[in-house]
Amino acid sequence: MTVELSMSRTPTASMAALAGRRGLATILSLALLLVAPLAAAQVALDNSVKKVETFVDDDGVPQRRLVDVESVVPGDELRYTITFTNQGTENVDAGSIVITNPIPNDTEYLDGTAFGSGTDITFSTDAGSSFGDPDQLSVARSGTSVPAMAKDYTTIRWQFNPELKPGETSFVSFNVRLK
Amino acid sequence: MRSAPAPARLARARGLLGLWFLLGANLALAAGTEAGRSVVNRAQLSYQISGGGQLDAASEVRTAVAELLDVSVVSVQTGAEAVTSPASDAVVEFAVTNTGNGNESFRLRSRDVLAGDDFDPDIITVYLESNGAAGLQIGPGGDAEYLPGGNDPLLAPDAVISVYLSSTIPDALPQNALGTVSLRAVANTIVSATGTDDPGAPAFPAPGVTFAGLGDPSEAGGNVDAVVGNAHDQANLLLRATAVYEVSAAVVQLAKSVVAIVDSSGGSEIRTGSVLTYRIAVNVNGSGNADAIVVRDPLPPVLEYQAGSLTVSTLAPGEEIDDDFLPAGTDNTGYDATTRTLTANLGTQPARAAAITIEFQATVQ
Repeated sequence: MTVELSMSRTPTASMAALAGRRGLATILSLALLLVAPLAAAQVALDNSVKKVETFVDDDGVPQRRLVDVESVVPGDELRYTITFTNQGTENVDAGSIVITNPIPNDTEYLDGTAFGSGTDITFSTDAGSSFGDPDQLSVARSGTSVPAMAKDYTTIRWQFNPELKPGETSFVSFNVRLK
Repeated sequence: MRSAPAPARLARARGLLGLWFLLGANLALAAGTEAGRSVVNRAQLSYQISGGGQLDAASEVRTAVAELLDVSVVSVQTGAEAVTSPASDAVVEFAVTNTGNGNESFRLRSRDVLAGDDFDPDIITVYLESNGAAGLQIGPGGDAEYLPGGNDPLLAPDAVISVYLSSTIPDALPQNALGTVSLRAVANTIVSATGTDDPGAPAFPAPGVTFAGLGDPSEAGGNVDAVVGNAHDQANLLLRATAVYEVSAAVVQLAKSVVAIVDSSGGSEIRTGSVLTYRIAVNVNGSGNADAIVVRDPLPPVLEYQAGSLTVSTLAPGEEIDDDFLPAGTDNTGYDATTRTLTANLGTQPARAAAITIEFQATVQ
């Protein structure tokens, strides 16, 4: 039933009609092949960036705020926000959502900025081959294994623990500095 | 001043290195990521529905790196540049560094009439290091004369160029008088966008001002924005530096010549037995005093010093001439046969128009 419902919403229905003379078995196998890409659209992902600007407020106190990115120069701090929304009609399984984000080129991760409500956050120092908590990570420096620093991180991973119901949205974020 | 002895050059080089280290510490992000680069952030998300197979989604955002317009101008002199009064071709050196992240040409402006000093040097010519040899060389194959707007130096991120100001120093200045000159460098993107290279002009931009689309080419097509950097902060204009000329200790110059030749037959040919009369003219130029002047002239084996022939114009004939050169280790004026060296200890001498002359005779062996 799911298969036919999905097909009816898409141009693939006309493809199926064109293939009509080839028999029911062919249509069904074509439709089954299409299940995965159609379902993939169920969780929509949006990736946005803002600049973290420091300014002095009316009381003379330095404050930080997010502004639209108009121009970015070396030394600027950026915040990336990855928003995910269940656009489908079925629940996304609890604990199944995993977001993996390599630290962008020419930037370094700023310690303690990775955020995600209801997520377990781990980091990689080996381009995503392995992940761990910050206190578990190490890197080799001059042949010696030393605790990893934020700038050593290559990749961030969030595991989202709750179920994501249809229509629900959530986000994760992290900050970097442009080298 | 240009032909500073090696130790002085070394000291200057050390001072420069120290300065770079300091700059490096303060401006850790001096150039950084090159203007025009695209910073790509790509997030991937996987999930499951009803325990089914893993599904994936991805999203990407790209940000073009703008061009930071920044520059550092520093004086390479360690302390004041000692000059005489008058003097011509008195040179001070500056280093101009592109501390921005783009390829930028810079408009240079030198000034010699500045408040707070004792005299105004007159900057005659500005030169750009352009022949690959350290220091200023003038003439064919030498460094290029700078013409504002004509050959503005184009610098890659972090690139440095040496700039030389060659000045004339006025006459009759007192000892230790100070004259200040300055050099500033302004990115030509600012000059063309605002019409000014004067940090004092109302149109001159503050740090953070952005010129849309006036930066370097972008990887994504078009041109990125140009952003005015912190060198333009009026409270600390890193784009400008000063150097000081100081009328200072007299400069000693030597000139040695043969003033008479008498051969054994009364002629003037140089042959065995000929007696040569040498003169060393010691000029003390400039102003003030030259201290502890000692002139030494080692004789080659072919010359034999004629005992008692040494005269020094600041001494009465015969006075304090010490041909046996004993006792050793004291300040002597005379000939030391052991080292075959003539020594004239002139002590402290004030600058003067006329030369001090040292004369002696030697026989060709």
